[in-house]
Amino acid sequence: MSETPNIPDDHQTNTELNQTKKKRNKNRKNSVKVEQSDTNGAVEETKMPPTISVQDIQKAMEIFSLQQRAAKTPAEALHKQYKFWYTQPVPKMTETILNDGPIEEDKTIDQIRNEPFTLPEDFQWDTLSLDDPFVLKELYTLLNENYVEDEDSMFRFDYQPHFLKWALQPPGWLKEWHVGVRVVKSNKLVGFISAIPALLKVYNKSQKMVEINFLCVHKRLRSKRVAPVLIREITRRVNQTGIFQAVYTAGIVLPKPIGTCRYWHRSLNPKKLIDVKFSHLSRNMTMQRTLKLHKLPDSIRTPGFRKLTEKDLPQARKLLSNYMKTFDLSPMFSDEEFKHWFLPQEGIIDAYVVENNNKITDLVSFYTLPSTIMHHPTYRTLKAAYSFYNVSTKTPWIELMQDALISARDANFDVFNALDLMDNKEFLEPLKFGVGDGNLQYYLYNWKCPEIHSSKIGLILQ
Amino acid sequence: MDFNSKKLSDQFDKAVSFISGSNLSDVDTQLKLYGFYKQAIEGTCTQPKPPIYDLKGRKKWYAWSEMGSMSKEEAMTSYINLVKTINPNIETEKTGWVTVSTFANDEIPLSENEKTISDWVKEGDLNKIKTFIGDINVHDCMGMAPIHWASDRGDLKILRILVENHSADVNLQDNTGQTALHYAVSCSHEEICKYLVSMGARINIQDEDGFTALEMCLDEKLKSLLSMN
Repeated sequence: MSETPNIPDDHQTNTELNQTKKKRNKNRKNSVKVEQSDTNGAVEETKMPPTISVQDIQKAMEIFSLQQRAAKTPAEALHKQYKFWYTQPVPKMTETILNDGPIEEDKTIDQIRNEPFTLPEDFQWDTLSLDDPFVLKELYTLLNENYVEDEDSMFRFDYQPHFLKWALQPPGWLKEWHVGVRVVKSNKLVGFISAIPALLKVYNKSQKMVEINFLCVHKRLRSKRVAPVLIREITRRVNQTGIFQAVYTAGIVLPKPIGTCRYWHRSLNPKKLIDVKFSHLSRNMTMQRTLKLHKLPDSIRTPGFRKLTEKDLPQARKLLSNYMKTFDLSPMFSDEEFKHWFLPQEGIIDAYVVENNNKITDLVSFYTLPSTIMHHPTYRTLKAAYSFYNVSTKTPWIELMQDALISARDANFDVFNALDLMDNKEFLEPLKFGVGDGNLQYYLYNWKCPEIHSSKIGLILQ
Repeated sequence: MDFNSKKLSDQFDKAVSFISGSNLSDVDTQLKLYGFYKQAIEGTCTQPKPPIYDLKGRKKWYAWSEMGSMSKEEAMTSYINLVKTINPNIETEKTGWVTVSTFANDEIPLSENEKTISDWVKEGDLNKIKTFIGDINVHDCMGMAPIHWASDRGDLKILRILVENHSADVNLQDNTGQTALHYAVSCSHEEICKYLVSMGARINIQDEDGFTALEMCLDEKLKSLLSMN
């Protein structure tokens, strides 16, 4: 999900940032007041009991930190984002949650706004037809150039058009949930957000939700408050179909993660990764040793390890859904969905099974997501495999995943990425994955539940 | 703002935004952070002590006043260090809605006066190497000489300066018996191999395990290229 680091709130404009410190302090106080009235008294200072408890100080500290955030730079941007998020049905940052369930009740149809939310002048909504190759290419270009907002970033995700169709048109997809924003005059696509339907298990409850993804605002629009409008608009369109919960992920901390995962990376082509600065040699490490260390066996080791085919689908789905029951956050795939997400497609999704005596005992899968390498004389693309869903019931994790690595190497991937969720910790270090510098936070919209440890998260979004 | 203070304030911002988004429950830590924060932003506390019934205000005031005349830089550093005890990864983490994660690098950089000629070779510091005065064939703590590092890293520019300006010995062995050519071959640095051979590197020197550079070569193309010479 992409977002501008600066979502200005309704009152704050850039000129305000340049005002004197005194004025800023005044604004700070005001903004804290707004914060308080938004929170149903959760941090209302006036109602505090006469004796000061630990919780009171905590609440007060939250106010201090909100005040601190009004300073400048990233901290300030975060403050503004929180202001938006605290108008939404999400838990407060300091809230401790013991039970699970919706935050607000389902809306009746007449409680749901009928018209689209208002965009800033000169912009208009456009529901995208991704079956139109030209429109698909427009979305591809928008994401390629703007999805990763950090301008100094050496790498940018390069979601391929056919990959986007796979990610955005699973069974049950709706065109209305591919929401675009265009410039009225030029018709240029400058904003996007998407939802796809999914049945999720959160702890012991199953809940129809949507997965929100690919929130992206063009870099020239990052000061125009478009992202919150996109979020409100997709919420409205999803609500209209009778769905009131969503799941999404982001690199940053917002109110309030249900779990935090870390990316790990396994070099398949160490020389290239070091050359393009995806990886590095530490001071006393030689390239010679690095190459030796990361060398994989010449070919697959596990007997019966092969590509998943259409006839494996029923058994493989059963294998996965049994495994998924062991997690506190996981998808419940229908036959149709399983086929969509797992049947191998060149350059999109790979899946392998281990079969012995007509019985499928293990499953590995990974999707293809290349990155554009910025400003490099020889290399333009980094080919990365992202671990999807893996199940081991007979082949030990390390052997199974080593074969996945070999398969990825043979398919010319440069790196194999995995999050530290599900049982992945079983194989990350032994198979020489290195810890990454990126986190992935998991969020639920209009659903609260106790925090979930990464090893109990069983959900992957693209 | 010079480089170091820019770096410090960037780190400080990062630590502040981490704390803003975190769920800190320890009040002592919160108050300490508050004190460092106020000191870092506003300097020494000159505000009057809040009245006795304002317990929270007094706690905050004490936390800030305790900083005394601590400098803003020191306060920022203390703030960052305290945040590091809560999240040791704070420095290496990326922030942003969508970021491409890469390998984390948590190595502490050496200061200039700790660096040896081998470090400059690894970093590709051309100027330092050009102006180097001393023994170019010296083995470092890893048992390797500059020429081995240049070959291993595949840096032809540096290698040429070592050989042509400093007369580095192309057949020098490291403490495992490997020559520069062993390194270049095992890393498949084709240009480096060609250059070394053209400068008189011998392909049949054995390392401590008895392997020559030629025997280490897995790349068929490179192998035929080497055997031609």
